[in-house]
Amino acid sequence: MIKNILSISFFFLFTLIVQAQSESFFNSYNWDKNPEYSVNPDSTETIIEVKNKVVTEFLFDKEDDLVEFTMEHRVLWLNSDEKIESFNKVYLPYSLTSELLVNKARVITKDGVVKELNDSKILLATDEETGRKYKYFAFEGIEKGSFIEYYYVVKQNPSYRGKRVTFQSSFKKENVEFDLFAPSNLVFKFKSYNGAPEVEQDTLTEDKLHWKLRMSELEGLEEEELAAYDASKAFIVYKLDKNLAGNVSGISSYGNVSQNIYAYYYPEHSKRTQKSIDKFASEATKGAEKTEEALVRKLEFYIKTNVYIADGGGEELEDLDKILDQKVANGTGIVKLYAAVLKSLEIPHEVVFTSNRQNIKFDKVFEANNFLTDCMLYFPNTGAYISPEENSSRYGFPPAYLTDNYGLFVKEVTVGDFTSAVGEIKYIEPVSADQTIDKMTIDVDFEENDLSTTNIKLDRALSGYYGMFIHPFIHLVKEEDLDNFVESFGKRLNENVEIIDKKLVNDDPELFGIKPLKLVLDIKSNAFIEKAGNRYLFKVGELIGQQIQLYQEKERVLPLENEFKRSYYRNINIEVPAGYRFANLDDINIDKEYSKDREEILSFKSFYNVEDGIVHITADEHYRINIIESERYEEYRDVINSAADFNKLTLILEPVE
Amino acid sequence: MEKFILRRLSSRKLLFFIVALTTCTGYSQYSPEFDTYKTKYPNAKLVRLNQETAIEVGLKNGEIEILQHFVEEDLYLDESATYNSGQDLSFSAFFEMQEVEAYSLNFERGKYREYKVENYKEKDDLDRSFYDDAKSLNFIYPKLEKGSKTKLVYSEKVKNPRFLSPFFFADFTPIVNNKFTITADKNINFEFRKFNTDSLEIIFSEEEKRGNKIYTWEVKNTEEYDYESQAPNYKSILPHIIPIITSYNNNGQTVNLQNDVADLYDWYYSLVENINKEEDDEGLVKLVNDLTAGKESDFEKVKAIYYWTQNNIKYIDFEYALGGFIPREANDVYQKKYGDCKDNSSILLKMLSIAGLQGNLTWIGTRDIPYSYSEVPTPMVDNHMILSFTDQEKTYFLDATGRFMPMDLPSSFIQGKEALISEGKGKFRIQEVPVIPAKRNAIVDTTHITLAGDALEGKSRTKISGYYKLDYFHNLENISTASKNQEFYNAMFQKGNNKFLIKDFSESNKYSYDENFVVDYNFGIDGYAKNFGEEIYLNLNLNKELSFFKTEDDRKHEIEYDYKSAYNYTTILEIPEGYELEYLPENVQLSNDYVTASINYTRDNNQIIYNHKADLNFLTLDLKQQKEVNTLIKEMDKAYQEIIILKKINSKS
Repeated sequence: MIKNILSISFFFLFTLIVQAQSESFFNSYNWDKNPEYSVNPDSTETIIEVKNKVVTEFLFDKEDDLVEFTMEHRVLWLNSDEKIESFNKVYLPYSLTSELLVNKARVITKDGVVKELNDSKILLATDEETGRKYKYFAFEGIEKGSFIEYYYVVKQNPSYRGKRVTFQSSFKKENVEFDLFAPSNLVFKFKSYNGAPEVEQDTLTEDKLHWKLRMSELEGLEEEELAAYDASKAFIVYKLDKNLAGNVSGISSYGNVSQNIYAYYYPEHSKRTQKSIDKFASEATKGAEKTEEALVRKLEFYIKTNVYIADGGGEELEDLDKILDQKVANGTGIVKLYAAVLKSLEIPHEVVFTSNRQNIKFDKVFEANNFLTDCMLYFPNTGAYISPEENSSRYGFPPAYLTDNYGLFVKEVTVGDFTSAVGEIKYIEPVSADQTIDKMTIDVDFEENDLSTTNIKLDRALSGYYGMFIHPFIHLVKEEDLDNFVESFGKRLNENVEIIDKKLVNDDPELFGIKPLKLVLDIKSNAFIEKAGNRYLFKVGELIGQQIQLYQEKERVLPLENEFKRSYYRNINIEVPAGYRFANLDDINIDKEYSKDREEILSFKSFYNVEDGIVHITADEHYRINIIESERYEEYRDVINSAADFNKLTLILEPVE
Repeated sequence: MEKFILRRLSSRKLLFFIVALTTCTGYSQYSPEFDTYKTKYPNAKLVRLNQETAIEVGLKNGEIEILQHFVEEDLYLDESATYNSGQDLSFSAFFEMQEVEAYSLNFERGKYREYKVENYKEKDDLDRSFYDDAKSLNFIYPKLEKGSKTKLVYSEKVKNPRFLSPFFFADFTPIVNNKFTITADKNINFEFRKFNTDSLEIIFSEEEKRGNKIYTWEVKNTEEYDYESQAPNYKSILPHIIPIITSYNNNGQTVNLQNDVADLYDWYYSLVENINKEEDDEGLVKLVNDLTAGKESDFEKVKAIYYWTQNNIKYIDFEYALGGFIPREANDVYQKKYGDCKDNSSILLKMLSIAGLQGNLTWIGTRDIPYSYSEVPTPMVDNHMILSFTDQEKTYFLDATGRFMPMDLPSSFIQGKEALISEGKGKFRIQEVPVIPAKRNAIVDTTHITLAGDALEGKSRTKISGYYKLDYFHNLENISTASKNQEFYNAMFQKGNNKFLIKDFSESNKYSYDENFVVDYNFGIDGYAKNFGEEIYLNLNLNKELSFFKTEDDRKHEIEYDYKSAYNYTTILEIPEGYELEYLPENVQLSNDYVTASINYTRDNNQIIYNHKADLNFLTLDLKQQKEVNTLIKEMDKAYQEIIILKKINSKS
C-alpha cells in the first residue's frame, strides 16, 4: 500500500539534464542460439540454477521521461518429478502500467534437443480489482534432466527509491549476475546483505553508469523452523542517491519520505470533510471514558467493526469523503481515516512505517523505501501501537512480526504557524512477556472409592497475543462453536475426559487487553491413572496438555525467531487421598534457565511443596526474548523440551505402610 | 510451550471465529424484521430472507435458449456484517453473465434506504485450473453493519442446455423464502430429480400459460447447514433439485437430449470420436516399442506404459469451454509432456493401441459427486476421465494423473463409483470401481525393544502398502534434505510419546510402484519406562492408532475417509536381566461390522511379544455407525492404558 504514497514525489526534475540518449543494454541482448549448459553428471541434486541474471536499466525516453527496463534471465536444471512440477509453470510479473517487451522460453532436453515455446502459448489473465495482469505459460517437453530457460524484459514506471533483489534460494545457483545501468547523472547506492558480495561500479562502460555483481556459485539456504528465512537470504538493496545534473543528493532519504507521508495523510480538509470527520469521531467514541487509551480502544473497535478493508487500488477507496460515507477503504485509505479521526480527537500519535522482520530487517542506516512496507500508529503517551490494517490485531498488540525491529516514525511538528513533519528511526519494542500470559490453575482430587477417577478443576486465563485470536471476536462466535471451543481446552488434556461443567469469564470483547479471557472447566476422568498392582500411576504431566518437543538432527544455522514473548504459569494442587502418599515427588523438580546479562530470559522451572495434605506444584515457563542466536539454540531447546519432559511426569501413589 | 491453540481448530472453524469485528454501541435502531429474525435465529450471522431462481427455457429455430434469473436478499444479524462486504459471482463460457444489480439496504430513521453498488470488477479466476474460462465479478457492498440487508439481482445465459443449474433449498444460512420457477416452452420435456428432500415440505405447482409450462417449487424456513470436517460433499446433504431437459419436440419430431445415459454418452462420444486421427508420432511409437519390448503378457505391457505415463506426463489442466470435455491429441501430449486427466487418457489410449491393445476411454465422477448415471444423465454426474483396460475379465482403472499408482489400485477418490466405459459409437457399459479392501492399505511394523534405565531403545521395520504407501511417497517427494526426511519419519512413526527419536534409518523400495515400501530404523524414547523401587512399569501400547478414529459425540454428519486401512504392530520386549514378569495385561479382542481389533500379549522365555492389529473396514460411517465404532474405541482406549510390571528377581517376597 505504501507504494502509492511513495511514488508521489513532487520535486524531482530529471529534465534538467541535457545529454545524448545512449543505447539500451537490451537492444543487443539475446540468449545463446546454441545453448550448451551442463551440470556435473554425478550430481545428486534435484535442481540447480545454472544461470540467474537480473539487469535493470534506467533510461530517458524520447519524451525525456525516466523509464525502467528490467530483465530476468534464468536457466534451471530440473532433475526430479517434483521439481519439474514446481517449475514447469511460470507467471511473469506484470501490471497495468507495465509492458512486457520480450518473453522467451525454451526447454533443452538431456539429449540437447531445443524446444522453443511459441508466442501463442503465452497466456494472459487480468484482475481489475488489483489492477494486475499476469502473463504466464507452461514449458513443453520437460523430461527429468532437462534445462528450462526463460527471459523476459519489462518496461515499467521507474522504481528507484529502494528495491530489493534477492539472489539466494533453497537450491544451489551458478553464474549469478546483477547489473544496473543508469544515465550518467543518476548515481545509485547499493548495500549487500547476508553474505552477498559488494556491488561494484564498472568504469569501463561508456555513456552511462554501470554497477555489477557477479557470483560464480551461491549455495542454497535450507529452510528451518522458526527462522526468518526470507530475511536471511543473500540479497542487495539499491536506491538512487544523487542527481549530478541537478546537484541533488539524498534523493531516497527518509527526510523526503517523511514529508511525503505527512502531506499525504494529513492534508488540509475542506470544512465539509472536517465536519464529517468530527461526526465520525464522536460517533465512534461514544460512551468511552475520556482517557486517551479508552478513546483509542473504542475508536479501533468501531472502525474494525464498521469499515470494510478491500484489496487493491481504486481512488474511491482512498478518498476520505467516500470512506466516511461508504464505510469501505483500502489499506492506505484506512490509515488516512485513523489519522484524520485521531487528529480530530486531538490524540497525539505518530505514523510508523516498518518491515515484517521475517521478510526483511529494517535497516536503520541504509535509507530505502523497500523497508517501509507496513504501517502502524504509535501513541507516545502510552507507548502502545495499533495496526490500522490488521483486523485481528488490537491496541497494544500490533502484528508481532512488525515489532522487535526498527521503524520510521513520522510525527507532526509545529514551529510557529508552520506545521510539518519529522521522521525518526527508532526501535519498535516488542510487547513484553508479562503481557502475553497463559495461566493455568488446576485443582485435582481423587474419587474416594475409586482412586482411578480424578476430579479436575481447570481454570485457564489467556491474555495478550494468546487471547487475541478469539477474545476480541468472542461475541461473534456461535454458541455451539463457543461450547466446542471451551470444551476443547478440556479435551486437549485427553480426548476421553468427561466435562461436567464449563464457563467463560470476561467474555466481553472490549475487555481484551484489559482482563484475560478465562475458561473454567470441571472435569472427571480416569484417563490419567494407570493401576500397577497396589499402586497407582498418576500422569500428572498430561494435565498441562501436550507440549512441543524440538529435535535437532543437524546443526542450527539460522537464528531462531519467535513471533512474540510470552509466559506460562501453571499451578497444580493435588489432594492426596487418605491412606496414600506420593512416592516420587522429587521427579517434579526441573530447573532450566538461560540468562543473559544476569537476567533470566528463558526458563522452565517446576517444583512443589506439600501443605495440609495438598501437593502444590508450580511449573512456570518464560520466553522473554524473541530472537535467539543459533549458537544459543541448544539452550532454547532445553527449555522447550523441559516442558515436554514435564508433560511425561508420572507420580506414583502408594498406600502408606 | 504448548502446541499453539490455533492448530486445534480447522481452518473452516477459524473462519467462524475470525469472522469479523466487534460491538457497535447502539447507534442505529433495528428494524422489526431484524428483531423477528434475531429472535428466531439467535445463532445465525445472517439469514437469507429471499432466494428466487427463475429459469426461462425457450425453443427458437430448433435451439434451446436458457436464461436464469436470480434474486438473493440477506439480512445481517450481528456485527460480522462488515466482513461480508466483498462478494463475487462466477461465470464462464457456458454461463454468460447478463445483468447484475447489487445494493445494501440500511435501516435509517424507520425505513430501509438503498445504497447501490457502483463498481464491478472482473477477474480471471486462476485458482481452479491452469487455464480456463472461469471469471469472477467482484464488488463491495457499502455501509454494511448489523441490521443491514443486501440484495443481489443477476441473470445469466446458459450456453448449453446440458448445464441447467441445480437448485438448492438450504445453505450455510437459514433461508426464509425460497422459490424456484421454470418457465419452459411446452415442447420441452423435463425430469426433476430430487435429492435429500425427504424431510422437507415442498409446495409444488405446475400450470400452462400461453404455450409455456410453469413449474414452481416453494419452501419456507429451512435451517442452516453446519460444516463439519470430513463430512460428505454438500450435494450429499443439502436438499436440492436437478432439472434435466430430457427431450424436446421440434416441428413434430422428438429430439432426445438427456433422456437417459445413452444420450449423455452419445454427446460425450461425439466429443472424443475424432481425436487421435493424426499419424502417430514416431517418437511415441518408438517409446511404446521400447517400453513393451520383451514383455510377455498384455498386462505387463500395459503396466509399463501406464507407469511411464504417470512418471512423465505432468498434470497441467487447460479447461477452456468445450476444451474441458475434449481430450487433446496423444501426439501433442507426448510432445508437451503434460496434460490433464483427459489428455492422459488420450495418450494412454494411443499408446495401448500402438502396442496392439485395447483401452477404453472412461468418464467417472469422483466420490464427492453423489449421483448415479441413471439418476442424473447430465455432465453434472461426472468430473473426471480415466482409461479402462480389461484383461482376462478383470478391468483396471488407469488414472495417469497421479504417480506411484500400481495397476490394481484405482485412484482412492473413485472407489465405489460408477464408471462410464466407452466401447465405440453407441456402445458403452457402466461398471462399478471396486473399493480396495483394508488389508491392501496396511502398515505392518515389527519392533524389538530393550530397556536402559527409564529409556527405551528399539529397532523397527515398517512395511507400508497400498494407499498408505502413496501418501508416504507424495510427502517424501517434497522433502529435499536428509534432516527433513528424518523429521518426517519422527512424526509419522512416532511411538510412545513425542520423546520418540529416530537415530538412523534406511529405506527400501522407495518410490516403487509394485513393492511394499520398507523403512528400517533405530530409535529411542527417553524416560518412557518408569523404574520405581524394585519394579519397572511399562506401557507396551506404543501406537494407539485406533483412538484417531473416534468422532465427536455431537457430530451431525457422516464421516468420510479416503480409504479402508489396516495396521499390525508387533513389539518384542527383551526382559532385562535380573527381572521377571510380574504382571501382564489381559488380551483384548474387539469387533463389529466396521472394525476388527485386538491386542495380544505372549510370554516367550525372556521375551514379551505384544501384538496390536486392526482392520478399519469403512470408507464412510453414518451417525449410528460412528457410535458403534466409538464404543469399540472406548474399550480399546482402556486397554491402551494397561501396563506391564517387571520385578527384580531376588526381591520377590
